[in-house]
Amino acid sequence: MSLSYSDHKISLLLLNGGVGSRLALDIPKQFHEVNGHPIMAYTLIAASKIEAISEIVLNAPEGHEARTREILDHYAGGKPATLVEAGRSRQQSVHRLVKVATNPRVLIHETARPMVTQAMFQALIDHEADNVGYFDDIHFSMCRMDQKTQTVSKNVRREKVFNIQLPQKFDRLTLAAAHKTALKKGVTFTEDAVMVHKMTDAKVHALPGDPRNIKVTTQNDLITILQLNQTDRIL
Amino acid sequence: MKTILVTGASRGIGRATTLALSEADAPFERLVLVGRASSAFEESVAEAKAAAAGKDIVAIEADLDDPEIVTDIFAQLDAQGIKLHAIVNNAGFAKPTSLNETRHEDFERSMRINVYSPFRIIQAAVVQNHPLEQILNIASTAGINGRAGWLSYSTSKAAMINMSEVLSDELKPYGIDVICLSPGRCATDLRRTLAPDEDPSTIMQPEQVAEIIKFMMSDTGKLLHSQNLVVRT
Repeated sequence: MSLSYSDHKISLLLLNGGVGSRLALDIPKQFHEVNGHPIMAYTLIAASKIEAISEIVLNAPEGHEARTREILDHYAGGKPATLVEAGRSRQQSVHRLVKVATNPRVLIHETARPMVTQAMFQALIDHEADNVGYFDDIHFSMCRMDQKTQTVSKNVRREKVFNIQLPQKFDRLTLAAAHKTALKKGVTFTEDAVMVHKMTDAKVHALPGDPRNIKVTTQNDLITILQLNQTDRIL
Repeated sequence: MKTILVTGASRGIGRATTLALSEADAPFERLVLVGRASSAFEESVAEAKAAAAGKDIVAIEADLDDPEIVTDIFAQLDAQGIKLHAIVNNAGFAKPTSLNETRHEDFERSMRINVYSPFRIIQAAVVQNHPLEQILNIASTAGINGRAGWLSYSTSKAAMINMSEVLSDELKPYGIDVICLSPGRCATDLRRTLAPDEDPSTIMQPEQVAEIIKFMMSDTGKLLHSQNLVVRT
């Protein structure tokens, strides 16, 4: 009997090395507590329930490795975790994580998105495509700007652009090849879906994103996360 | 296999709950019963086995006066490949005395059995990734309002009510429902310790509390949300 696609093991690559300078907290934001748990723990709670995730590969802000380990011990549900040194850029960090991953498929997530759910991870794992991510609609108007004159130059049709969210799923070798090529060509990307599309001939498929799955970047985002956690109780 | 663990399964509400959950219409295929080694525990286990047609009854002898025993309980569960879906923290200890007569050791024992061991059980199940859906903590109306003469018992049950409130919030990301059930006067051996002159036939019976616990575990019961559910005559 052959295994169904969902039975294959997958590695969770976690970007956890941010220092959260824009939040002006005295600790990196992933260690800041929301409803009693560090922000980082929410991702681990969602992932701990998924059997297919057989390993976690992550980084930590410099000097916070011990706290990261403590949180893993208490929230990763016994899943083995490997700490990898963060890179100088997000791209380099992902490259380092993917080199250490051992499964044929990888999930990429960032702990600064604590609203991720078990269902979001599971839908990626169950998706038949090798490379797939979440892309949310743009709910506001946008334009291009002439940088020199600081005047409006062109409209941007929002139905043609999307908010790239995490988590994403990739074939490990495809992702590794994309990073290798990008490095060789000296090009940088701020995330991996467009990188894989540009640097390989692989297709990256889209699942509809969720406006609640925000990345905590500012103080306002922290308030939003708190409120989302509170309203869950009422809705 | 849907599994529930019940502590203090030898007597009173624990024994009645065990029997109620052994019935065919209770949503569990396996019951893990925890009790101190005693003839009462053996009888309760035998009673559950006789009542449980086709259900798996697992008995674990453990004295929750030592919270460290929780490590052994979970090692035994692991060894048998048992994962918990629900927990009823029922085991309780009462020695009703006033401030003047409460021995430090008895106060500590009340906290160990009524607070620390339930804490250790819940922590172990959550951290060790058991697929928990429900936790039901048995507190007491004596934990809502302090009772003169019951210093350590009242205090420990107040702690249980508060701990349940904290856990209800903290375990939300896990999707675990935490229910705190506070029975009033109930005809158990523990009640006899607290009120030796009372006629037990005039107050709430453990079987009635057990029926409510069984209902809380049903699909309809899961719709009932309460910070602290009071059952009393």
